[in-house]
Parts: sequence; structure tokens; C-alpha cells
Amino acid sequence: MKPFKVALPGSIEQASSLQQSFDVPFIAGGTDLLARIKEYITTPEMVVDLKRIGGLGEITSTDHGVRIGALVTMNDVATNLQVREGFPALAETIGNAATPQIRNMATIGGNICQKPRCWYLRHEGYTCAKNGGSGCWAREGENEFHAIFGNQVCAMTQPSNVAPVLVAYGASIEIQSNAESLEKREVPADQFFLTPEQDPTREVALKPGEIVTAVLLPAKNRTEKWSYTEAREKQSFDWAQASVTVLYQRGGRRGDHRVVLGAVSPAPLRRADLEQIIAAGDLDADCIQALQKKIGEGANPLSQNGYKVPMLRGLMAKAIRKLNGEKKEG
Amino acid sequence: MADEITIQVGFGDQFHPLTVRLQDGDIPPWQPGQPLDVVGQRKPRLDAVAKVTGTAKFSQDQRPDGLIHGRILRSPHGNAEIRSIDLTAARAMPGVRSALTVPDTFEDSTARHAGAEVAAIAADTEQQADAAMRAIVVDYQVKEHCVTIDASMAEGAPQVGRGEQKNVQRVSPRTRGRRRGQNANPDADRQVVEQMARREKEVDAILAGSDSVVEGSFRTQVQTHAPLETHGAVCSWEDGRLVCWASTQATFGFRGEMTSDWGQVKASECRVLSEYVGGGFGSKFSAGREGVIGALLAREAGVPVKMMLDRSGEQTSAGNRPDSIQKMRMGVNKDGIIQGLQIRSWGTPGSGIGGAGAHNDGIYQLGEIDKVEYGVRTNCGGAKAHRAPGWPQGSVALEQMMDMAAHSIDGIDPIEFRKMNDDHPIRAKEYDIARERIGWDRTRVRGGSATICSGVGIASNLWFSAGGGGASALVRIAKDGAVEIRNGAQDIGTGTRTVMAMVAAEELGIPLEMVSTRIGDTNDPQGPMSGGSTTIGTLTPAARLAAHHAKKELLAVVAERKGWDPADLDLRKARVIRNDGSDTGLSFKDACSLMDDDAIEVLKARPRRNYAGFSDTNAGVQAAEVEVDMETGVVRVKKVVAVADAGKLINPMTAESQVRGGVIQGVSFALHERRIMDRHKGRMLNDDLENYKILGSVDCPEIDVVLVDVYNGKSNTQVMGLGEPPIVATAAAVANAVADAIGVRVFEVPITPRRVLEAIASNEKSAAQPKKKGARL
Amino acid sequence: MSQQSTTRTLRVNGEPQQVAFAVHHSLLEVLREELGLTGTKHGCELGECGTCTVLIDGKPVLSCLELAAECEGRSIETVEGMMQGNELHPLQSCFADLGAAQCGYCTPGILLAAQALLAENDSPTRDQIVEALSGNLCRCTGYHKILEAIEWAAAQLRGDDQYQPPDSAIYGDPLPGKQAADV
Repeated sequence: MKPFKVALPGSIEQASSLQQSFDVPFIAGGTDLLARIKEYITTPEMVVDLKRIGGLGEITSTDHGVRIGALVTMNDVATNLQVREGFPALAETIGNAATPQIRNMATIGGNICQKPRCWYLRHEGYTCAKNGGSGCWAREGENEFHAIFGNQVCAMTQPSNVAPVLVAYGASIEIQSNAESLEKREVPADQFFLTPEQDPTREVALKPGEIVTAVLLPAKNRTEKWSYTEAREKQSFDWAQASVTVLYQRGGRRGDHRVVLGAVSPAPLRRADLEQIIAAGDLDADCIQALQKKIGEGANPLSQNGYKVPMLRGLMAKAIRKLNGEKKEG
Repeated sequence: MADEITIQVGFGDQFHPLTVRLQDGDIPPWQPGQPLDVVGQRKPRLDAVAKVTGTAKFSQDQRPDGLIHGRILRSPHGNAEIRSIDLTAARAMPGVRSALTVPDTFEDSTARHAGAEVAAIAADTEQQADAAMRAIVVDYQVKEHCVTIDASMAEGAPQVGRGEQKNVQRVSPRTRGRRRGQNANPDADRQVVEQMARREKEVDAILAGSDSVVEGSFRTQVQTHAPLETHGAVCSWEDGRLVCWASTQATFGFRGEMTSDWGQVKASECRVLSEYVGGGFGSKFSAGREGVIGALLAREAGVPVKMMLDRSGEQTSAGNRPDSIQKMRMGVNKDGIIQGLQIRSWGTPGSGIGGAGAHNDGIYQLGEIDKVEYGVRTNCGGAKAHRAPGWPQGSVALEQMMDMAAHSIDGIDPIEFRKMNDDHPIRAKEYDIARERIGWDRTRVRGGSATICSGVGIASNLWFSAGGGGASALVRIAKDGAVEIRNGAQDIGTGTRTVMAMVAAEELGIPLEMVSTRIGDTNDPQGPMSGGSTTIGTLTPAARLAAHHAKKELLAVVAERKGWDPADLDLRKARVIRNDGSDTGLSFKDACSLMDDDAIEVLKARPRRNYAGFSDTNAGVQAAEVEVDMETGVVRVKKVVAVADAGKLINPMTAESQVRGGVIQGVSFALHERRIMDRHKGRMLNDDLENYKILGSVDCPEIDVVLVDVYNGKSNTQVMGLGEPPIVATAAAVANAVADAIGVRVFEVPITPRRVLEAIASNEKSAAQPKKKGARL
Repeated sequence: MSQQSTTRTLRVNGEPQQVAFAVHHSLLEVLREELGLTGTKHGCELGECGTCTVLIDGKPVLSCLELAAECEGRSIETVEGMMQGNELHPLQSCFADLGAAQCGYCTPGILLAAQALLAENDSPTRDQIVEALSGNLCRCTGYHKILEAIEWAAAQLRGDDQYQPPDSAIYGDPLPGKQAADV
């Protein structure tokens, strides 16, 4: 790897002012950035280490909900009682992610800001719409794990498997920076994750100098019935090939359901059409059939990833059965 | 003069006498019922404590004084000629001590795959070496590439090889007279082609006359070895002599390359040290270009160089198991007897054509066989021997054909069908064991009739692992009673060190704890490579013979000093005993103290040839149980029963470990691993351990190992190595189990969720003929 | 090339040590190169294989993706620190006695992942053990003996001497005086 300097700011203001452009990346857990530096995918002169900044490492509970500091590790999020009780789908999805070691290192802030796992993007010498060029190598190339929805500009999938769950819970991302005009703002998760059409070079709505300081989970969106299901080739250390998050009667409000698909599109894909089907009837076989019929609509599979459509159908059925309290399969 | 003796050979309750002519001063094999004190016991590895405390030093861990770091620049292009390389800027970078180019070193200016070595550099720190490597200026003439078997076989595909080499070339039957870079001698080739045509006609006729003919087209993928310790060595020159701490499966082979003309190292003397190796699986027989590069960089730099591959170099260029396309037709009669088999197979060993065969001939009586194999050149990293080279891929195809043939004849159970066509006495028993332990006859939800379906599958293996000539061992008994056994071969984790010592301890009649070992050093006696599952079979007879003669020498000393008859003395349980079992009152240590000299040292080579024995091949059977999620296509292997012929079992602990290791690599091959090549630039996209998916703890099935203890009589220890045998059948058994579970066959491994879902979808489409629910395929 | 260097006090296996290293160096590099602790293995350097696992403040992490500079003031444990005096840690002795180390390259990382698990849970189920090891690849052993060794060590640490790991079956018992024992 190319040597770099490490800045250790003690405050958000200092950290923010050190990042004039994305050429100076922030580092927290380091599990994504250091791997990319070692492979020369990015070659920063300096990284800004956020770990010394106080106040970002706690999970606090208020009447409004749960605030997860950006530096809280994935493992600490998944094992936190308030998260487990109030937002169990989040705990479940983290429990499935990566490895115990990575969950001990990676932070929730870093998780939602991680770069795509696209194997073209992670090899030197492939310029594309994401890194200063144009086009997408995967669309006409090796795309078994790539997106089937919204893949015209770039076929990446959003790598964070908590992203769809945060969208479903209506979470917000708290962002701070040094610049006066941008001071502390909260961005709803469904606006935080960007599609390539919005901006092919950024996966999240951060500008240089902006730092994710917390993930906010609103208490009003706690849900009794939920399910998170995903499929992947390997059960130890692998990435989901597709996931389905369903929140039923979100916050106890009749008809307020959320269906969000993961690992099949560049940003988490909320599906209002599927939510309506759930709202229209009982969680029975007919409902499952209607959802399965609908779920592939709008998909544009590439040469090697058409299987993700039947996989989504399967996951959808599992999700509804799980809502009904049927025993875990397999 | 050879001694003719009669020994008992066999296993279980099947024994028969066999007359053997002992060769080269050999001693008789242990006999059934003979009391053994060490052999057959579960013994922890002698180096286990070093491994669990972190004191075991692998090549990667060597840190001689002044060590600097080597790096290899690799081609980013799928296919290129190297026009020129300019090292000037790189040599001027901070910390750089030495550099070389591959065209100069190996007289090869083609970079036939992305990842091919182009140049190398050594510098004081890894980061300096990285930076300097990136300052090397290479002028490539980039050419078109073919990185998949399909691309290479396509009409009008770019040429991969040189001269007149075609992309697709027949490798079997072979035509004599083929020279490097040329096609076969036309006259000789015509004769072979005519023979092939005749054979095809004959077998066509046999199939036409069979009661049932089944057909299948199978594919297997490229699997990389992916040892956790990458290839490479730490190289150091001391007074003109080369010392290499090498991660190798062949210390003596490595030394031979370093003293040869290849790569121009030409060391007058070379010592290879390799006490611990972090896995090899067949990929570490050669020093490789990295070994040569390390030695040359160290010579120029005048300080030791660490030249270990990074993970990407390991995955792209350090070897793999070739892929295969296998098309088969099998004819079988109503009585269940196979009449004939036609096989056409293609495989891609990289830019060459050798080693691409898919093997499966020898397990079953297959009737008349018409087999033609082709090598297909691709612009990919070259193949190397990979744990049972050629066999897992051949097994995947043949064993599925066996199931299809059995199902094509009403009512024949796949295991019964195999027994009808397999005359190996050991497998005959092993089928029953596997059937019982996998729960073959248990009622299951199978055939795709529920969300989660279950299935079982069976497959067999053979191997040739009795070893052969080429090993010597030195046993040293010191006056103070210390016993040491030395052999220069390496132990790559298989347990070689431990079994070598166990055999010596048994022969010397002392506990294992009294034996110390020295291995992995070419200054010690010649030893075998860790390959072909032959290490233990090659080495242990030498160890036993050396121990035997050392014992005789020691007992001669005792006899002389005490005035006893040497023929009446033996050693057992660290005591000197008489033939009637009575104690002489002397301990082993007492006996040693009677020596005049400091020590007895005996160096013995094992006989070069093996005896006829009980059976020529090693026999095994495996059964797999799977669960398949019909909705997501995810396959979980729940259990594998692995019944393995170990020959005479020396250490059940290391033997079963070898079997489990083969099984997990087989399951990983069946479900996960595959090399993914980019059609655009010809690079391997998963040159890592993230997208190159290796079976992890959660995916590991229950593995029920049954070791079969066989007095095979082939050597004085009769042992059979278990490196390759246990990987041969695993993927085939899994594939058969998946077909049983989902009611449709997946003809390609790895059996990924994508392939399962695609197979289910195609089955639903073609469901013109409804199948019985729960019926086997 | 600027190689910004730093000197930090790292507490490795209970011993605070001053060590100088380049700021961009990973903990793995510093442990192996500066401190000579080569028991922590170098496998992929990209956080994918788990051979470089060490414990930081008792939790298993990947030392190849941890900046050494970040580790000041934290407790770092490596395989070299597992022995208690001259005694092997029960995990170490159980791994050795059961044959849970084959080539041995993944062993140190797995031992530490297991140590962290047993510190949290003295009676882990098989599933919990399997999950705790899901970040550690082993290419040789087939995992079984590793799982059994951890169960055995857990039992020993609890003071339970009843637990006996099972042996594989043998057809035709190789021990003296017995033959063809049915399996």
C-alpha cells in the first residue's frame, strides 16, 4: 500500500475542516477503507481518523427513539437491548453480516458509508461511471451478484445490509460539518442512500466535510411484526444476494407497512406496490401469491443475475410466513 | 537374495494368505493380531504444541537479519507480448536493492494471462517495494484473449498458444511425435483418428444394443488451491551457498530447481528448510517463478529477501484445478450391468494443454469405453496438481451418470446399482456402512415437493497411495538413550512427522515420547514430496527399516556385552526382552549405555517396489445428505459419511483429519468455489478470499469418518495415504443428493443458488411429463 | 515517500512496550515486524481469512485492518500470551490433544476467537461456537476437531471432567487382539 498520514482530530469541527475533498477520507473501523487502500483502489495522502472524537460512541434512548452514535460498533448495535427490543430487524440483519471480527471493528456510521463491493470497482484499471469515467463494466460483463433494478447507469448493489432496514424503520441519519450552512442536519434514510441517477459517484448524500454523527431510530416506528430474510451462497462470511425487509403495521398504525428490498439495486428499494398488497388483505396464501407476482415488476436482469427474481419471490413468501409466526425454516 | 514369506492380507473378516518375496533387505509387514503398542493409537501431532503456541515458524515468519522485501509486478492484460521493460526509474526509488525482469530471467516475453509475472523488485520495506514496483515501465503489445473454455472453443476465437498451436487439442488418445509448439505428426495422427472412429462405431453399436441409454453433459469449474499461507520463500546467500526457507511440498525438488539452469539461479549448493507449511494441496511442488525470483533478488541485493506472494498473486497465478466439460452416454441392461460408456471431455489448464483430463476410469466395470479428451488453451493462470488431479471433476460426471442409469431401469437403487458394477472387496463393505450411517433408507421430503427438501447421494473413489521408492531415513540411538529420526521431507500438515516417529517407536519398542524428529531440511536424508498421497507410504517403510536395523545393532551390542544370543532378544515397552516375552532386567536406556560408541546411526532406503498386496487401489465410498431451500436455491450439506481405506492405520487421529479436510474441500468445490474471469480485460475478478468463496465453519457439514483398517501387504507398513482419496467423491455425492432433493439435476458445479433456481425453473417449464411426487430422479 | 513515524506504548499480552512504527502500519505489521510476534499469521491482509485475529480489549478483531496507532491504551492479546506460566491454556492443550491443528496456519487466530467466546460464555452450544468461528477460514481440518476441542476446553474450564470428545469409527479395529469390530 501507499503510505499515508493519519490525522487524529479531537472534534467534529476539526475533522470536518480536514476534509476539503473526498481525496481525504474519514476512517473509523477501517474495515472497508484500509482494504481499499491496500489494493490501491484509493491512494490518499492522509486519512482522518474519527475515533478520538467524543460523544459518537454511545447508544442513548429518548422519548423520541434511539440514537446510535456513528462510532458504535456493529456488534454493540446488534447486542444493545434497546435496539433488540425496539428495532429487532436491525439487530437481526447485523447478526447476519460479515464476521464476528468485522462486527467488532466496523462502525454503524462506516457501514452505511461503505463503498460498493462491485468487483470491477475494486480492481485497479476499470474506470466507470462511479470513478470518473462512464459506463458500467458489469452490465455486459460478470454480473452474477449485481443489481436487477435501477441498473442502467451502474449495476452496483448497496453493500450495507442494514440500509434497507433503516429505510423501513424510517430512520434518519444525523450529519454534521464545520461549514455554517450545513450545520447539523438530519436526512431520512430513504434520501441518504443515492441512486446512480442522482449521482453516480456518490452512494450517500454526504458532501466533503460532512460527517455522519448518528443514526436515529424513531420510537413511533417500533413494530410488533417484522421480518428480515436474506439469501446468500455461504452462511459464513458472505454478502446477501437478495434481502426482503417487511414491517407490518409499523408503529401500530393500521395499513402502515414497509417492504424494502436489499442487494438487488444500487440503493435500498422501497416497494409501495407491495405494501399496498399487504394492506389490502390478510397475510395468507393469496397475499403471498400476489406479492410474488408483483415483486419482479420493474426488474431488468442482466445476463447472469436473472435468478434474483425467483429468489426475491422465495424470500417474499418466507417474509410473510415469518410475520405469521411460522417457525424458522431450514 | 530375496526371502520368500507368507503373510496374511485382508481386512475385517476377510483375510487370505499371500506369498511375498521380500526385497532389498526388507522386513515383513505387521500381521493381523500382532500386538502393536504405538501403531494404531490416536497420537497428537508431535508439533501440535508448537502450532498452538505460535512458536511454529512458517516461511512467512522467517526473519533473518537484514531481511528485505520482494514484490512481483504482474501483467494486467489478458494476453500480451512484453516489448520492453525499463527498470531505471524503479531502481532509483528509495530503498530499492535489486530488480529483475522476467523476459531476461526466464527467456519468456509473453504474458499469457493477467497476473503473469513481468518483473520483480526488492526493497527495504514493503511499501518501498510496492512503490518501486509501480515505477517499472512496461511496454506491452496487448492482444486479444480467451479466458473461458467457451470463448476459447468458439468459432474464430483468438489464438492462445504460439506457432501452429490450436486452442483445442486432443490429449487422449495421444498421437506420438508431437513436438513443442507443433501439431501432431500427420501420418501418426491419421492412424489414431482412424482408431478413434472405429472405437466410436463399436461403442455406438454396444449402446444401441443396450436396454437403456442415458446421456448427460456436465461442467465443473476452476478451483484454486487457496492455501492460507501463500507460495514463496525467504532466500538468503551465505558464502555463495543458497538457503531457502520455502513454503513447499517438495524440499528436495525445490533444491533441485535452485541448482539447475532453470531461471539461472544455478546455486552450487542449496539448502532448503521447510519445517512448517501452511497448506499446499498440490500447488507447491515447484519453487515456481517466485522461488527463482526470490533467490536472484537476494543474490543481487546481498541480503535475505522475503518473496512471498500476496493473495491476488496466489489466486491468479499459483495454480488451480482445471475446469471441465464432460459429455457422456452410458448403456445399461435391464439386469443392471453397464455395457458401455462414451466420454468426450474438454478442460482448460491455462495456456498449455496438459493435465486437463477428467478421470473416472477404474472404479466401476464400465463395459466398453470410448473416451476422447481435449485440452483447451485459455489466457488464464496455469493449472497445477490439485488434490486428486482430474478425479473430482471426473467423479462429478460419472457418478451422476451412474444415478441416471440406475433410475433409467425401474427399481434399481443407486447403491445396489453400484454394487452390481463394482468388484472391489473393500468398497463392497463400505457401501453398506455408508448406507447405514447416512440414513439412506429413511423417509424424506424429497423431489422438490416442499419448501425445504432433503436428499441423499452416493459416490465412490479409488486412489493409488501405497507409495514407492525414493525415501531414506536415518535413525540415531545415542548412548544416553536419546532416539532421533531424520528425514529431509516436509510435513504440510498431513502428519508425516508424527507417523514417521510412530513407526520408528513401534519398531524400537519404545514409547513415542522417547523419539525426537528432524524434518524439512535437505541436509537430512532424501525424502519424498508431499504428493499423490504417497508420502506416508513411501517414507514409513524406510523409517521402519532404519529403526529395525538400529535395533538389531543395539541388541547385538547387548548380546555381546552380556554374552546372550542376539536372536533371542527384542525391545518392547522400553525394555530388553527375550523371545518368550520374559524381561532381561535391562531397560532400553540400560541397553544404550552399553554402547562403546556415542551413538548407533543407521541410514536405510526403502525397497523401490511394492508387493502385490491385497488390492492395487485404495477404496472409498462417500454419502452426502443435503437440504435444499426450493425458494432461494440455497443448498446446505447436512452430513457427509466418508468411509476411507487407510491401508494399515498408523494414526487414526491424523488419518481422520486428512479425510475431513478432503471432504470440506469437496463440499466447497460442490457448492461455492469458482474462478470468475472478466471477459473485458481477461482478469480474475475474485482474486481474493471474499468472492472466491471457501467453505466456512457455519457451512461445514457433520462429517462422519469411518476408517477401514486394511492389512494390504504392499509394504512393510502397508499404509495408504489419505490426501487425495477423500476429495474424489464428495462433490459427486453432493450433486446426486441435490438431484434427489429437488427432483431435477443440476449438471454444473458449483451448485449455487442461481443454478438451483435456474434448474427448478427449467424443470417447471418442461413439466410436460408429470413426475411422481417424491420419486427419485 | 513520506513515512510518518510514531512512537506509542502498546500493551501486548499484559506488557506495556514502547514501539516505533510508521503511522500507516497495521497492528499485524507491528506485531510481526517490530515486536517479532509471528504467532499472529499473515493470510490475506484484506480481512477475509481471519488468520491475523487478535484480541483487543477482549474482543476478536482483524489485526490486518487495525491501525497500530489506534491501539494505544488498549489491551492487545496474541497467541503468545495464551499460556499461563508454563502451562498451556486449556484451549491450547485441547487443540493439541485432539488434532485440531493440522497445517497450523489458521490455529492461532482460531484459538483467540475461541478464547473470546469462552470468556463471554462458559457453556457455548455447538451453533454458538460455529458462529464465533465464522470469520476464520480453515482449509485443512474440516473444522470438527476444532469445534470439539473448544467444547472440551470449555468443559475443562468449567471444571467438568465428564466430557469426552468422540472418536471416529474404525472398521477392523487396529488395536491388538481385536479384529473386524462392527462399526
